[in-house]
Amino acid sequence: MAGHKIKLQSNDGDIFDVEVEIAKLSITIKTMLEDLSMNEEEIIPLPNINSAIFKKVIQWTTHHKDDPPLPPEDDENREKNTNDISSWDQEFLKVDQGTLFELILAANYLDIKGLLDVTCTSVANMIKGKTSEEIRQTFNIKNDFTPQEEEQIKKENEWCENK
Amino acid sequence: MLHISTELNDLPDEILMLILKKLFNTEVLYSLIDVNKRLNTIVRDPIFTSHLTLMRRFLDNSNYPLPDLILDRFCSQILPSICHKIKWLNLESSSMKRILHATNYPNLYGLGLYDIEIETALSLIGISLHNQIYLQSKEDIQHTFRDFKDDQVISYVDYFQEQYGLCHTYLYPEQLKYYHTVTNNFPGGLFTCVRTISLHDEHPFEHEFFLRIAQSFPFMKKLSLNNSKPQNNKLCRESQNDNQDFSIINYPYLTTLTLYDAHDDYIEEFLVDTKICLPKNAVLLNIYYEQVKRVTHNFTRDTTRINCAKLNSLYLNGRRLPKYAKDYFPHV
Repeated sequence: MAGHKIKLQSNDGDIFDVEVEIAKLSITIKTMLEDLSMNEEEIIPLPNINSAIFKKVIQWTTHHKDDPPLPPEDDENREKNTNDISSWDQEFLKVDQGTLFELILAANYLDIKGLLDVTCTSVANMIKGKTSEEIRQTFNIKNDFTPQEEEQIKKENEWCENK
Repeated sequence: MLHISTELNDLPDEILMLILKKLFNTEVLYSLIDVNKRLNTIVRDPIFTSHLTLMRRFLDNSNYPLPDLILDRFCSQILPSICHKIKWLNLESSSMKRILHATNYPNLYGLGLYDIEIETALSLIGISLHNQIYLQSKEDIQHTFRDFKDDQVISYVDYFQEQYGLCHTYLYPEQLKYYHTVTNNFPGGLFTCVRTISLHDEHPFEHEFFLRIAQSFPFMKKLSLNNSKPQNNKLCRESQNDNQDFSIINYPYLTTLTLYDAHDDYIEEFLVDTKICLPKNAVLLNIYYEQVKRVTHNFTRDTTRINCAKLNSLYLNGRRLPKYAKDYFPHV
């Protein structure tokens, strides 16, 4: 029924009234409502998502509620077009890295394929074309190879270059 | 409360895999190999290392080498460190020699060579040619692979009008899971392991060609077709109204059919139920909306109704199916 709402609770206690049709874009919530016969009056807890991230998720699902479904994943013939993020999504994803990764985790937990797809594409674009050192700097990744392991890699590379 | 921001390295492996699958394998390896131990393990997974396309392909099918800096790193560091994992390489002519000489590839069973003259291809693998010999037969190529048994190599050559030739060479064909760029020159055979094929030619694919494909790839699940030429025999058959020798082709295991680059005749070939029989409620069709609308006569045509009713998914390149057409695709 259009306009009918359910209550969803983030892990920091905030309760959100969300239209059923929008909430059901999350397969996780859809399953809770349909297969587990949860009462729509009950507050549905979302223990993995804080309120700031859940607000973003609602913003995204509200904007995309009429989108056609994505085609099934096809690893073998997967398209590598990472340029097709809509301008609205690009604006939506202008957030700090922490928020972007939290959105990915939330989309994965809630099973919202479109949001997971666009957030992963956004991170893939941040990786594309960078050297290993630039990746470490961009994503704050520690080089955890021991000096011996580094030396071994270096030696192998020198051997290849001199071959 | 102290809030610790989530970082890339905090994401579980399965999500990292989802992100990396958005990139070409060469992009994954160039950026992430040797960054840290965890990423090093993930990006060396066969999904990122077994099939490599070490060139840039543009939408107009033109091919260019990788940029120098990236190619240098692949040849000096990356390829030698994953050489045992590489099973298939796609290469273009100007960088091919350097890549093939960068290391040994002990498990390589497939090589896609693009924009290459056959003389060059053969010289790379140790065959010297006399000026008078013009290579155009599969025997010439078979000779190159004379250390392999007959049933371990198949090959054939296509010469296209648009200034290029395509040399197909498949080692250990009985193990192939993919068979790409099948043309009218495809010599046939039985490939029970192949699940994915792509068809491409500058010459039309006639109905009989699709019958050969069904016979050679009995367990094929995914098929894509790229051919802009109309069928010749279709008109002939229609004018003679002769359907007697016209067998209905079965693709019993088909799950994905991609017809974005297909002439309307091939869409008809797959949707008219007296030509091809699709499995019931199993197939995803990737197609442009305008084409399916045209071929199905605005979703009213009776001869395409049965196969359209068998589709279980329809991806119209982002377009939605209009409401009035939904009954035509009851399982979509």
